[in-house]
Amino acid sequence: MVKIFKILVCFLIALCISSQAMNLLLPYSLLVRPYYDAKKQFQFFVMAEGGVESVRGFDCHDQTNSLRIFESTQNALTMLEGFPALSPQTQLLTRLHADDNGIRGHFDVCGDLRLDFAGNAAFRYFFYKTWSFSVYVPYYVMSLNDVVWCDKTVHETDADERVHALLTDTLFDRVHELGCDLSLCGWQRHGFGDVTLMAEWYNDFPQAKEFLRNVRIEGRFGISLPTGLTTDVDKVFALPFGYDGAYALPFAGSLELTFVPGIWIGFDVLLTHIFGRTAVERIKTANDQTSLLLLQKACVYRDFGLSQEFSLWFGTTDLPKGLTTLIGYQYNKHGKDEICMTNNSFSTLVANTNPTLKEWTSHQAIIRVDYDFGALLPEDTCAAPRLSLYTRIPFNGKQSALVTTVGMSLAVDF
Amino acid sequence: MLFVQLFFCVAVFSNVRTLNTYSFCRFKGCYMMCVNRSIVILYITIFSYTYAYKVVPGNSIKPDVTFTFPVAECIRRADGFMYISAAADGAGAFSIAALDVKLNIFKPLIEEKVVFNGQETVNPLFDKKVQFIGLLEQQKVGILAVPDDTSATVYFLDTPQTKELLSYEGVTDASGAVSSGIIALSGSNKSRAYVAVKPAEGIFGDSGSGINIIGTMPHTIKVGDKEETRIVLGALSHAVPFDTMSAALAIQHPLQKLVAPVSLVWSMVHEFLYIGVGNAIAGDQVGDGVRSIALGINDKVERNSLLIRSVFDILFDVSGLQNNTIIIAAQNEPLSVHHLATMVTSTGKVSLIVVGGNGAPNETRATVRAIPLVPFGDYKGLVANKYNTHERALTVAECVTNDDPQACVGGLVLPAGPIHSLSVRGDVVFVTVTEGDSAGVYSSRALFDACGEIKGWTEWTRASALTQPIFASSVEQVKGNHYMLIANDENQLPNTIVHTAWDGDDHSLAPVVSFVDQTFDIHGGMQAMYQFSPATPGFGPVSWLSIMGFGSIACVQTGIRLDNDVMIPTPSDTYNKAAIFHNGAIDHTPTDETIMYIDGGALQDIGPLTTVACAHSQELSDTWLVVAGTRGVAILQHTDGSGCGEQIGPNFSGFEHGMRFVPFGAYDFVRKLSADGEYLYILTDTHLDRVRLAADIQQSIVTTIARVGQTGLCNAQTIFTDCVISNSLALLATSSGLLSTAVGSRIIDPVPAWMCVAVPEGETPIVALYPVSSTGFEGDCARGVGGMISVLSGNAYNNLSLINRFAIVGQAEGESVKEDTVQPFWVDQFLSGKPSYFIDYGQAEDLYATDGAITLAVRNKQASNKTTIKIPYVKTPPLSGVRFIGVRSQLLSDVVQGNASVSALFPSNVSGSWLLASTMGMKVNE
Repeated sequence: MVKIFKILVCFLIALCISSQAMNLLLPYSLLVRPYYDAKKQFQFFVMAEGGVESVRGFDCHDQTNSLRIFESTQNALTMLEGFPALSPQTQLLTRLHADDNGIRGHFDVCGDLRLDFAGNAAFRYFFYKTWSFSVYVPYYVMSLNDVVWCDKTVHETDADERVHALLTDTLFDRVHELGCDLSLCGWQRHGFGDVTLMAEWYNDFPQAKEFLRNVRIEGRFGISLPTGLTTDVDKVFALPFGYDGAYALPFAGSLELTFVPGIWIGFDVLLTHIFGRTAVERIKTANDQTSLLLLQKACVYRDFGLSQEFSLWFGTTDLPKGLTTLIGYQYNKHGKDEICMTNNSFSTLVANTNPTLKEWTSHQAIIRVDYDFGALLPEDTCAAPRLSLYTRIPFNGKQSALVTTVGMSLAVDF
Repeated sequence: MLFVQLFFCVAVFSNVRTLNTYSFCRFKGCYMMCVNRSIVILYITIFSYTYAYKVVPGNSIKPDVTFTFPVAECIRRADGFMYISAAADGAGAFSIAALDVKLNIFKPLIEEKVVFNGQETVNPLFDKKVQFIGLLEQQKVGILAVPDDTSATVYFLDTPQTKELLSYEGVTDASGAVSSGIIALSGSNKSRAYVAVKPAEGIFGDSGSGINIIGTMPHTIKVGDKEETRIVLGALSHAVPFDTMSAALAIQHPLQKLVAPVSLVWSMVHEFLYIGVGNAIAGDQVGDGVRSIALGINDKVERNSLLIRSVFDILFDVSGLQNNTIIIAAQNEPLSVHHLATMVTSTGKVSLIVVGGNGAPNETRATVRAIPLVPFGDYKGLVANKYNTHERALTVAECVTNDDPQACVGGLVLPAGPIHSLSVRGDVVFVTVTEGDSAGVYSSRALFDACGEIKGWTEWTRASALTQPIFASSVEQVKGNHYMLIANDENQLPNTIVHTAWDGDDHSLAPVVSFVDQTFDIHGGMQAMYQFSPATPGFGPVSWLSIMGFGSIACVQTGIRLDNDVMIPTPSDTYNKAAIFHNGAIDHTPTDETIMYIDGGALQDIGPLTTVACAHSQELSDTWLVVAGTRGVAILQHTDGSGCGEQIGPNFSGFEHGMRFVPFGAYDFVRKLSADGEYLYILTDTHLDRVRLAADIQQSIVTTIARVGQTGLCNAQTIFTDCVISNSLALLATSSGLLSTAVGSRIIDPVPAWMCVAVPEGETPIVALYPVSSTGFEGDCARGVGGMISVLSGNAYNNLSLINRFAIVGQAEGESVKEDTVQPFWVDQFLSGKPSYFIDYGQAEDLYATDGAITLAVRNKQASNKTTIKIPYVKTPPLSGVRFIGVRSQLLSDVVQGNASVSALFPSNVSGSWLLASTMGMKVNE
């Protein structure tokens, strides 16, 4: 048993090292977390996942690079707009004396955004019948590599030459100087995500029907603590490892139906209310600015939209005994965020035109295979391990960066 | 309309290279084959036109004629509506016609059968001549019509419903008898119109002559048992006397002579009637005098009565009139008034524009004078004190005279000849000429002092490229098009309405546009466009349009000034010859070309050219063409550093074989070149250099007279954006505000001092300066009567653009700047006593342009926003103290492509046509 466990851990580590990933793992998502029941009082499990392909970005219409999900090009001219008259940004803008003709000052940006590792350690305790309490501690390693800023400005007009000489040829320096240390290079970040405490309940309702054998109803709610790494406003596209410094209340419910030949289907709804929080963010100071070139940092209060996750699945269970398979569909939607400036130096209306605040969605398929080694062990064994392998295959989305991942989880009930 | 008269081909061979790679470009009438950027063969096919304006369709089936009949009267409104009447029988339903603004066609208003005075009958105006028409502009527009000057009948037609016609027969003279004819008619914005009537016996001026009121009024009649209220036409039972005895005209004793024509003009501002007489001569006794204009006021006591009084509130001591310079009052000299109009300037001042003045009618037909009127208050409408136009003139000395520059529209008598019609739009006076070789439309724009008073006028310039008789003209402010009444039949009678348009491609500059579009179709297209007038020092009697691109410049001779000071636009069929030079050098002396194109050499090293100037030294009797751009400055010179000689003449005389562009100094990102006096000024982002011209231009002494970070000037972050240099004054636009040479200083001083100029409620940065001078040369705006400067501030940083206006006081040559040399327009204020901006566009604009009649603003493409051109909403024309002028501006559609970058927009100083240069080519509103 220990030997098997060691082999699995080695496989898991090897998998993580060899994979590249993007999607953040939501450790309490029903379709990826290990199964559990109340036969044992405790469950400990670890999860890890990695991608098997490059990150795919989904803008409003098509698939694109992950750095282009909000805009097809980044605009270095408009990044100078909206600042006070005598500010260096405005002085430079005046000196450029250039209008935005659609290519001047524009950059094609691409980069390789990776989720190098997403892991989770969790512990569950059944404190009363089927009531359990669980703690999820995720950890992530992300990196952005091979960032390329391709200047589209031509050399035709005086304005072109000005933009080249004064702005785009030295964009990184300019942005660093005028943008309060904003770096347009790649980065690597690692750290914990938001720790989640969750109370869960389920109940089985066996059915004496010809085909339907069991109905399971499950409910859970909890709190997500802002322990995760927040957005690094000085790095480009450095996403938070959680709810960006905010508390959140996830609550969910699901229904599972088990039929005679060992087929089961179910659906799950997970809603997460994220509490508003005040933090320093990069804000838009003019309507036409693009999301990667925001020079102004400001303290803002962010009112998060509701996060919704809808899951549907079907599969087989105990065919053969201990083996569970699942094919699922998961739809995620995050509502529009709003921000409010904590001072009146800049316009809240303009700041709220940031496309990163808009709602985003994702659609993904999940294929999963589980084996409960407890089926091979006697009933009274002290520990029953479970192994799960899964893949998440995103196929559509809006303003989201998604990647196909392969992951595994190993749980031990005791 | 379009006469293809000439097919002309010119082949220019130069720089022949291997034809291994080439592009073949086709455009209308012009084929150009290019090898890389070197032009190998140029074939230009030129069409010649009588005119290229768009004809408004009417009842004529000929595409180049509007009407089959001559037009008697043409009334134009700012919103584009136009009404005409037929001058001869046979017009059918078009006896009176109105322009359908949306469809841009004339529609007939005279139906064959109408309800006439309550009875359905044949329309008495159908197919008949209508000599006078006038409008009653209230909620609806009603039209008053008088068949001819022997008729005492007035008809009234309501619009847009035209099925009913009212009439009033037997308009009476001052004695109460039926007049022998109506000789003038003026509508109003009330329910009344005014007619000048001849006496029952005799001619106008004889006893019994007068001014009668025609008005609509409700009238209750019995129809069977019921009472119905109908609108009827009525008139005074006795006209108000207006003859040689009229006290409004005669000073002391009756006039010797008073003859028609009579000009009646309704002032919407005052709601008064101005009456001008064609010829008036004072009595022959000592102390007798005469006035040529009277004021008609609706009597407050008797509502439907008219009080005719003098426009002066002066007890004339005729000794004050001995010089006979008061324009509309004289002692022993005849006075004449041919046309009258009222003008409300953009500063809110009111003037009476008079064609005529002191002298017999044949002596004053080319003279236009502006007489300030009191705009409001108890004395509104009276001749104002020229020193304070809010007050009436109480003495002769307070009246404007022929010697006052503010009275002399155009500065001088119109050199083109007798004036046929007069119109006013915005700050501009338009006159048309139908006689002689200089026929056409001419305009003059008012120049204002800081108080908003007219201080002078720009010189007469052509307002249309048409060089044929024009009988009436009007600029409409909806699209900025210019409508004109011309003759297009063998009898040379006015029968055709034409108008300018942005979308025409067969205008007089079409060959130039084709040439430019093809020549500058690579490397970003046209980068800049400037124009030079004969007022530019170093220029002979020619006007130029200079168009610049990447390492190339095209100079187009757009007009030539005749000996009589009238500018003649270059006929389109003479644009057939282009002198084309490569390697930045002139390899043969131009002879009779009207286009000169130079590229390569030092120009190539500069890259995009952005500015051009003509540097002229009177001391050295030499002139240089200087260009600058992204990577430097280059001067067209001989090998010894000399230039074109005393002046640049017709057909590029002065440019000789052997001249070439030579780099000058080490500059980059040059914003502007400016020349004034013996100096050339070079403005870059960071400094302003003054170049003292030397015989060998390369040996000129260069002095930096302003530099960013200079103590007392501006901080090191500041950017210079624009400058205007005139006489001792320099105005420097910067990203930190507006600077000027300091009081007591001169720009030619060894180390000129600078001072800040407050821009009232303006924004920083200052983006551009738009000077206006009387001559059209910006270097003259601090000379003579002075000039004005519009300042465009704000930009994309705050998505805001404001226009502030400044008055520049003219100074003696070399005189130091004074405290009042540059002053904001005090009348541009929204709160009393707080000077402010003139126009707020509510969003960033890149260019601002106005000729005084039409005001345009350009916003180049910004991110998702396409390039747009705006014109103020017709009901809120630019006016001091009026908000939302810019915000409510309307978009001019289809003028430029949405992704074009407009670099220049201004009216041609030769033809008045609006010229637009953009990266997508050149457009002309003609």
